[in-house]
Amino acid sequence: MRVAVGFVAANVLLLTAGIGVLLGMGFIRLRPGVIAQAAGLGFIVGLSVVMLVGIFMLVVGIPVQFMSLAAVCLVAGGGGLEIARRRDGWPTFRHLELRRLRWTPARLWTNVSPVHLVLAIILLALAVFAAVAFSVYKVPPAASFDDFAIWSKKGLALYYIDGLDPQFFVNSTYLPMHQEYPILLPLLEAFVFRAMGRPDTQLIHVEFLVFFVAFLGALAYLTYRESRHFLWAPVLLALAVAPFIHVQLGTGYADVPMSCFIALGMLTLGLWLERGERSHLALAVIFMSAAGSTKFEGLIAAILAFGTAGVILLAQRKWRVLRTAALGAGVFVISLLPWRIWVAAHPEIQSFFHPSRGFDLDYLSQHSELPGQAIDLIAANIADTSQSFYIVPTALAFIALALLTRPSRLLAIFYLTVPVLLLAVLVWVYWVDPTTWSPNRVVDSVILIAVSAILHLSSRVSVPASLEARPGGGRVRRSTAGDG
Amino acid sequence: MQTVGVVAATVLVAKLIQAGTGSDRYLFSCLVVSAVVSLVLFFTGVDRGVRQMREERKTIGGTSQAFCNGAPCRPYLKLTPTGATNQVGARMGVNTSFVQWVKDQLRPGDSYYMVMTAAPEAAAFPQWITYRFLPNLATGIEGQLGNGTVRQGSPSAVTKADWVIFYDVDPRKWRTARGNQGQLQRIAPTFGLLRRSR
Repeated sequence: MRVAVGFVAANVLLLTAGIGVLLGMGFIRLRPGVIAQAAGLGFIVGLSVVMLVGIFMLVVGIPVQFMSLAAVCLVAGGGGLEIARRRDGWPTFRHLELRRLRWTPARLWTNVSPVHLVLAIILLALAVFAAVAFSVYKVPPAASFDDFAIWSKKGLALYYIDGLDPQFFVNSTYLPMHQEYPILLPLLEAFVFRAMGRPDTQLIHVEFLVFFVAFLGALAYLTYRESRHFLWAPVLLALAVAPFIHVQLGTGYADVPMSCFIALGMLTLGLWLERGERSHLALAVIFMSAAGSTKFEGLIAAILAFGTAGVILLAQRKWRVLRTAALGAGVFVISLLPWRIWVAAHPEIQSFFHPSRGFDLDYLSQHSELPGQAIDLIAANIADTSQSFYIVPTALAFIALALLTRPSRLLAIFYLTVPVLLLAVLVWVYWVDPTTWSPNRVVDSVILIAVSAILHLSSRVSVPASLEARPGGGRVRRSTAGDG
Repeated sequence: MQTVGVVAATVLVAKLIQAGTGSDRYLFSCLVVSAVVSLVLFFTGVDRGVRQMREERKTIGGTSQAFCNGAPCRPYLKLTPTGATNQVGARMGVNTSFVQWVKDQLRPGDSYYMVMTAAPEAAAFPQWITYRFLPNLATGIEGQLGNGTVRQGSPSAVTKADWVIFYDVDPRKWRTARGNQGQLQRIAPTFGLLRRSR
């Protein structure tokens, strides 16, 4: 019982922190309905911010116990609430919009339409899937090599040890534990373990499921705010049950969570490029920092995303906006500095990857067959429709069509350039050391960036009035960051 | 080819439904194609996913092997948390009875030095064993390190440890820190635990 209560409490705390951040930055208003809609986004934002603060605390030597991180959550939540209360005032009874919920059986029967029936069937299918997934995720312990050798091992160590004890985190005995890897995910595991009162290495896998559900909710909310229709929603439904996600997520590996952060970072950065709302840039910085604090690939993708956005702004000669982008990129760099400084301060930590070989022309020419192999492996995994459900081909079709339309051209370039550059880096990494990545996992970030591209570009599609679910809703406005 | 297929379907749909004009019409058609394909994939994904997961739940951790390191293999669902964790090691081939026995001997704060077999089949063992021994920390490992390399012994690491663990190595043939005083307990000729007197 204590374990279950602790598990729920940890997640409620992260949600509280995230909602507070969203309220504080003015991204959402202090209204119950809005807060409920933004719960998924709030959870991911809260998790990102609290874990980034936790990493900073660990590096400077502040013990990261449950109460200290819970205090961070409550300060973020309470602070944001206070800022929003001063701005929006407390919600009144009227804001609960209870009238909309007053359904009688008779009214329900007369108002029901085929669309409602389809929605009910979809919700039922989702509920069944989620229940079965829950029952499976909570069964296996840390059974995969990377889980017990890297992620859960560090999580357990952070649970047992109040800090970055060099005897564990710098000790070469624990190789190949990838001691230079960032520790957002292990810190999250340690936080949940502490809330549970003991390290339940089986239930912790459900945390990954909770994270993924919140990720879907975050994508849905960000797209919902921008769109007047819901024709983008089926893509999220397909993603929710896509096999490539669930095959990996339950193993406790970091690839899917890191890719989720990247996808959210790309979507919010894309929205900022298009609309120029600084809150989108702030969210992008949070998500990209979280991605960079989860895995190296996340750091690379984040740098490429900021770089591509910068080049687009540079090409448009939007100097003022470029300054804002540079500020955002600066905050991103600062957020990653603590961990990088800590690693640099421990030269005995051995990296598994030696990039110098990637500039050795003799080595590269002797292994000229490797890039072709890497491309084949990546292409085979992206094209495996039984796993990734046509997501990348659909995104490419959207991007190709969007390139033909002036308002969406820049977005199409953005969503095409970043994954292409990311793939180029991955091919180069494989060329340097073919044992560095697993092809089925390394494509996660590309597939989830493709989801962001589909959602963003499809939210901009004009649909016939009969299909507009929110005729007055959405915030479709053709402007770019420079005009915001 | 798949992208070409999606574009072809988009063009076909654009010809069928006369909504919008110009590129908007094609984007809308692409949206319709994406929505329809995704909905179909969602329902088939739920159907397939639920069936697979229900089956997986019963057998997860199960294996076609009759025995996992001497004991009958059992799915995780039928085991206690400790049993499930040990089952992971057993499936890898780790002597989990020995590991559990050693874990029970270690007291909070005790450190250990591990003398591992150099056998290549034990490559992943140290990673799992050091995970299993947390919160007790290792001062060093000799023999199979876990990444395919065999590490030489470190007398200085031995002196920092409270215990020396012998995994598939005969303690009498151990040369790294000869003359170490302490009490040796063995549960098999090559599986032992030395309590160092400091």
